[in-house]
Amino acid sequence: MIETTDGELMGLVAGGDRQAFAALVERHQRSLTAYLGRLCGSGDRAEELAQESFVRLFQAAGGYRDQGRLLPYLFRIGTNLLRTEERRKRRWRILAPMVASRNGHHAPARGEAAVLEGELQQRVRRELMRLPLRFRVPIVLFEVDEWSHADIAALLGCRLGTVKSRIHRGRERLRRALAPYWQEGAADD
Amino acid sequence: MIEDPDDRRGDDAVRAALRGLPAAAPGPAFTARVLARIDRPHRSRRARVPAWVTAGAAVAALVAILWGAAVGRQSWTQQQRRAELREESAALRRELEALHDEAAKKSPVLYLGGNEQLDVVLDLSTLPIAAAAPAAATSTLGGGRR
Repeated sequence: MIETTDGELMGLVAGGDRQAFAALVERHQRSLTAYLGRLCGSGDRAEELAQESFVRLFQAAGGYRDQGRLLPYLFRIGTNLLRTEERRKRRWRILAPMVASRNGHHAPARGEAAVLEGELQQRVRRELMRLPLRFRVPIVLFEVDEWSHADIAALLGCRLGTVKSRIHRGRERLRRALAPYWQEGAADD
Repeated sequence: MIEDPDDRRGDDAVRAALRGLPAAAPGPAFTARVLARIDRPHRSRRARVPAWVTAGAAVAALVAILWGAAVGRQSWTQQQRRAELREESAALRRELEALHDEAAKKSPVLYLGGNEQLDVVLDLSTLPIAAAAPAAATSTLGGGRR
């Protein structure tokens, strides 16, 4: 059986077809949630953002022009939502320093699905969360989701050189931040 | 550009660490929840307000607060000043009344004469009342009867 393409499904969604939309959600929910989870460090937040991204996709279906790239489009919606959320948080942190967490890391709320496992993973995630979003997004897309520089540039709407530079700088920051930990681990062995 | 082997090893380690992070997975009712959200009234209208509108509103609110504080401060200063003036006016009135009382009393001082450098006065209030006697009865000048 030939699988319906994303573009065809989006055409149906534009006409108000909810089943087609459900099929799209089923198809992409896993990769979108995983991507957002890596970016924000929380399973619950990732799911919330992913759901909102699909809602936005549904609302924008009428204006969608298929270029065979629905997933990058979805990732862009999710990234923008996260960026808006982080900006709002940053403003709040400025206005209410009493409420802000000390290091800017989002502490998982009680009952929140625990994504963190193990000391090394906690450390890696913490350092990743410390990276500004402009470094975090390209590094996750490049290193984990294995996107090309060109695709990342298209998603972020910036030049290829900028993407390469951000990946390089982000990786360097992570390498430096994690080096003591790895050295400690090596000394323990 | 020659890459440092240590950096390369570090990059590989970073990559492996990032890939080793557990992936968040959607819950079992993910699709149903998304479909339910679509049916909900659009709640993100507020979020679509352009950033410059939000910033403008924040600036306007700040200006209003500062203006309110300035007006309040000015009003408080005026009230303070009015209270001070009232107090000063009352003090002056009391002083004036005291002067009026003083003026109404018969002066106990008798001016005897003098020049530009010297006034010769006799303060009658310092004289002992018992010592005062009619001039006809006693004479301090010569002691003889007229």
